Amino acid sequence: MQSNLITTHAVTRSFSDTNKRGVFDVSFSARKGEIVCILGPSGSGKSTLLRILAGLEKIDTGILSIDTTIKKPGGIVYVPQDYTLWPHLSVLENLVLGPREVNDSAEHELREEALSLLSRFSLREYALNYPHELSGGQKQRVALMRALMMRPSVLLLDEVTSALDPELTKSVLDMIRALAKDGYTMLVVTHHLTLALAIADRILFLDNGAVVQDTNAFTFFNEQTNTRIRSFIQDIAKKDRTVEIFEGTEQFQAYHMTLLKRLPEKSIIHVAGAVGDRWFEPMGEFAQAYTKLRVRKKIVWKMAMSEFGTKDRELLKRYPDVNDFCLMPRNLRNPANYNVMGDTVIIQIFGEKPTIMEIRDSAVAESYRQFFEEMWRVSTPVEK
Amino acid sequence: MLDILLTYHSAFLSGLKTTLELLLLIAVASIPLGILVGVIGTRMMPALGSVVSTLRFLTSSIPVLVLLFWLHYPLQSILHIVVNPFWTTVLALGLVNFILTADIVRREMVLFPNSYREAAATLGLSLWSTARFIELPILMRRIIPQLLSNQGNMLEYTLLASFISVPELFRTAQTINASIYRPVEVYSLLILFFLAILGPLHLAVRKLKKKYAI
Repeated sequence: MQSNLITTHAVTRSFSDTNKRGVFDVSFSARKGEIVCILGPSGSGKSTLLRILAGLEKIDTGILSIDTTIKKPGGIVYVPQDYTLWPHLSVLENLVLGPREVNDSAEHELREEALSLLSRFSLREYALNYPHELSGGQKQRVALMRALMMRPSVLLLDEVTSALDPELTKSVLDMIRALAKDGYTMLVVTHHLTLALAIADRILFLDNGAVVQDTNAFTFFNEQTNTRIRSFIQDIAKKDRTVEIFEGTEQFQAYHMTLLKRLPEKSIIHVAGAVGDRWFEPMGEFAQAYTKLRVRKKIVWKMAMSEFGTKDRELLKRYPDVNDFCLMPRNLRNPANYNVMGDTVIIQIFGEKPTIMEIRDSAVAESYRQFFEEMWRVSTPVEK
Repeated sequence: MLDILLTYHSAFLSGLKTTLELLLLIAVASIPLGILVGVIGTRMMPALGSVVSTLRFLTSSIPVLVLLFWLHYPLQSILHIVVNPFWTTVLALGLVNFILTADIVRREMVLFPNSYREAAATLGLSLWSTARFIELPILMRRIIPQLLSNQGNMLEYTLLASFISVPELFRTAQTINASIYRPVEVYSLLILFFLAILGPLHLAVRKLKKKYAI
């Protein structure tokens, strides 16, 4: 278990200015290398929490402890939503100034580093331009790079994708995941569901300045029992162009039938966390037609399951060629369920009103597939 | 026109010299002090800032000519002193320029986006580095064009000194015209003189504003 880099205990900060949102009694911690996405409605104090961690806001009461190894200038860097690049400096100068003044690094080395960073994110030709000559998306990427130039231990990203075009979001997603592998710890405030789905290890849900939920990302999205959070997830999903929601039994059935028709023959549907026969209930009479079509198109269900139901056993017995089942280890089991096919992830929420959340985003699909493969590796195959 | 210039060149030169001297003295006396008071009024003594802001309101509500006359006649008779009109002009316009400068500095410092400072703070820049590399350069880019533009206004205000008999450029032209009565040539020459001084100044302001548009 890695040690906590940042821990807050009952942190409270209130403002007399009604435009500013306070936080109340916030306790949480972030481990090294962990990516925590902070979600919540507008005005729930998400930004304030990040600003407190960045040292830009004082706290009224509570304890904020930061690991001594990262307690140095530029150790925790905050990137705000409005990409405040310094307007009088060129892109290159914006990147170089911080590390030059703080770390006393050599200017020419920093310039090299900045230029290679700019090349990596396709902004090399803008090195000598001034911020007002860049688009919003470009400015935000430069702001991110300016933070990276400090080689920080913790990155605090405040709605950094809100100004980006979808295609640029992907490059930032890739960048953030790469940084996660490099050991960066990140706290990310976002309204971008696909970003949270793709990168979050944990979700901190804030409402009215208080932590309502602090849970792992999969449980948060798939297993949500809090109705207010559920409707919040659906609300932001509706705003997300890559996300679509299908609600109710009819839409649930229609979605699956259409999906099956759309998928090419011999495709594989990766299913993680399936619970026994749960899926068959909302599918009702369509289940049979579905299976028939699936068998004809040789579309494989590759499932890492939480529970193995009688209907699943039947399926496996009758159509062993198109079913490949594994049982997840006991400690990883949870009833959360998601499917991945191609560039699409669907998250299914069962219950009275079965709901499908479809995310068409190759970055999200990729990260879910990776998670699936890891799960598959540690699961026990079911004998056919 | 050329003959007038040739005949009266020493008078014109002396008028020009007086005008430029006025301008220089006004600038030297008021700009550094204005900047100092602007900075102190913003960072250290908010009360001073409010005084500056009130004075700015008063100066924009009192015509400069009225102020100049008031300093020249009533004040001096109250105090039973006689001050050379040249210095009265320096005092009046210097006062106006000082208040304008202090107010520009104060306003720009107040309007300075805090997010620029925060961006520096989060990267770990010291207050000194932030002031030196971020605040000062940005403030200068915003303040300098305004100050230059103000000096153009001051030059125009120096013409008012002719009302209290300071022999600056306009007064010189009036005197010459009174003796030869060739207003077309005399005042055309005056236009050329002012174009020669104010033209480059305004061009510089425009260029700086464009260059420093941020």
